[in-house]
Amino acid sequence: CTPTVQVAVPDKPIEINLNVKIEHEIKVKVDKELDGMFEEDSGLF
Amino acid sequence: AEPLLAFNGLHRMGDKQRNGSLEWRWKLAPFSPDSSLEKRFGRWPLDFNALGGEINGGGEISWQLGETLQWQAKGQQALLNIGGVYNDIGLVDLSVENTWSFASNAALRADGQVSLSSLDVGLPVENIALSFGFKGDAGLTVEGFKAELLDGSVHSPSLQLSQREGLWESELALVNIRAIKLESLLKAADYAGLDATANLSGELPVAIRANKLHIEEGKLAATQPGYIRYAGLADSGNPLMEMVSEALSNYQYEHLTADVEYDDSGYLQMAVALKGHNPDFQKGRQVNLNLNISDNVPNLMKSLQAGRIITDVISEKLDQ
Amino acid sequence: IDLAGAKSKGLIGERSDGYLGYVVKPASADVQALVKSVNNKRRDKFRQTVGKTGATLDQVAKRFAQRAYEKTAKGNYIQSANGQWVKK
Repeated sequence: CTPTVQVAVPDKPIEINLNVKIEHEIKVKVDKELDGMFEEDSGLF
Repeated sequence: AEPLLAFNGLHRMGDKQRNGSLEWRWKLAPFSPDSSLEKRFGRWPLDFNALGGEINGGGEISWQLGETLQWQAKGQQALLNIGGVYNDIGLVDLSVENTWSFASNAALRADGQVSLSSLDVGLPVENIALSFGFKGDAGLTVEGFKAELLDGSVHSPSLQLSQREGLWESELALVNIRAIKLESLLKAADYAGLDATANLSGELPVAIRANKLHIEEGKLAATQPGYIRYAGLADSGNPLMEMVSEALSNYQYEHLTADVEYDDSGYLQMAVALKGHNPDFQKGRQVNLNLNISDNVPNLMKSLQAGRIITDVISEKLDQ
Repeated sequence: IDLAGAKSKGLIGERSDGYLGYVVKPASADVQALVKSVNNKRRDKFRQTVGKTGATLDQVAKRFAQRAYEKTAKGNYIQSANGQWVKK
């Protein structure tokens, strides 16, 4: 007989536990505030 | 031009000057961006500026001079289609209509309805409505609160609020969440690398404590299947993380439940349990995913509000 | 002496913490006065930004340093990660 290869879908589910901390990128607003410092007349850069 | 404040009153004196009554009506000229609340009063102390809409009101007071002076007063006010900005939050078509009564032997009472067609806190909250009853130190009742946001809606039963040491607090009220869409939030806010769908409904026990919102043992569940595609964990170099990253590249779930907590720390804590699989991961093997998510809501609001200049948004809406 | 001049002469450079630093030491009195004045103004602006955005002072200063590096003219000094002054 011809060997048959049975690929049984592994029955036991995988458990994944993840801790997700979301702080929110506030770079956009920080950049808006810092823009002025890079302007010619700011005398800060 | 129309007077800024039109006020007229009529006083009738009874015989022997022992009693009398006064009736009055007042009306503020309609607001506009050029004649806003702030522009009319120069240094305007409040953080609220009205850019559109009208305010008017009136009332009557009758008095009797016995051994002591007795008086009874009642009246009504109406804010109609007010458009304005409060700090970085925009309001369009705010209408408040209320009646009030007050007497020498009775506490101030006020009852009314509030409706607001759009509140922009960085994402639109629309068609807000509630009615309120204020009974002096017996506190404030808010009834029938409803609002639409994130393509779903929020409904609250009666909420009893009272003031302790100047701060508002309330018992728990079971707020009902109907079909809010996670994808709407992801579109509005920046959740780098995350694409997901969830149609969430459930009940959130809410209480106000020292002016701050609390959610205790809230329960939400997805009412239909959805997916999570997250690319934030790729090439972390850690084999376990690689496996998780692969699983989450196209995770399709049939079952999602979430326990929700929120307190004055500002962190929304959600324990989310999902059952599903990724067809391209280990031949579609079942994956139970448990996410402990904590999301800083004040920062979420700030980053949402960072993306627009609210006064332009409001003036634009008022022009339509 | 002005800021651009002091930078192009290689007397001062942009540090990784968002402030100006002395490349040539000891620095002359007017260069010191310039650096102190600019750094104080930068600190105020960083604090203001913290108030408006909720980011931390460290995040704001580092972000400024990042952008300062990108905008630094060729030949001017920037501080490398290990603290060395390097010409861009």
